[in-house]
Amino acid sequence: MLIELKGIVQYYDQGHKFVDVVVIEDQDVKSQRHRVGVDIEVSHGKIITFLSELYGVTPGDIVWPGHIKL
Amino acid sequence: MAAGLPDYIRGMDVILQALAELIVRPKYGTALLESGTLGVTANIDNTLVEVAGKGMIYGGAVWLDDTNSQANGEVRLWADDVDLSPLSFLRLIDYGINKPRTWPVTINVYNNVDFIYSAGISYGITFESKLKISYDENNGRTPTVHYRLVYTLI
Repeated sequence: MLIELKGIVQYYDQGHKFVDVVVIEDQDVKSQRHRVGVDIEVSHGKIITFLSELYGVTPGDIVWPGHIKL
Repeated sequence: MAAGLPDYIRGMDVILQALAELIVRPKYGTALLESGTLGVTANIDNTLVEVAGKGMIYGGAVWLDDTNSQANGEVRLWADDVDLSPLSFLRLIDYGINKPRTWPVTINVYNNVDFIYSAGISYGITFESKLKISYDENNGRTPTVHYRLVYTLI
């Protein structure tokens, strides 16, 4: 399975910061959204680890486009 | 279908213009919605939502009602770290910037009697790596700000 990162969303609601990722699974036309955490700091390693564990894939199976910067 | 034949027998024949019409549209990703409510901090620029990625805005709004004036408050739209809309509610109403797409942020409601304000986020603005909406509180108060943003990531 190949996971392509499309975006990282950080938004504020009711006093908390929510961190979500938007991904495409195996070049599907529809994206999937997942909650990484609440009130956490975002890092490259944290996102990669989260997606690896969620999908049961290695970091090499996760595509991180160059335009997505933290 | 070209010349009465199914597509699997004969593909599109654009060169010969055999098609009666050809519909073309840009391919974008799934529409996404962000929404939230934030009690902002006085006298600073408060981030409401921030997206890392490439995409396009479909629309949005930021609104609030307070017990005192927020005329100098600014709804800010940032694309790729550029502040596209450094104008307060007061300036937006003064200049009549109230039509979508004439400016990245437009005024929907300006009620400086009951202190209700609403700004719209214009459709069609693209971003290459980052999108952010913030509320710059310039009145020394801590109002509760509500927002909605609809966009896509490509």
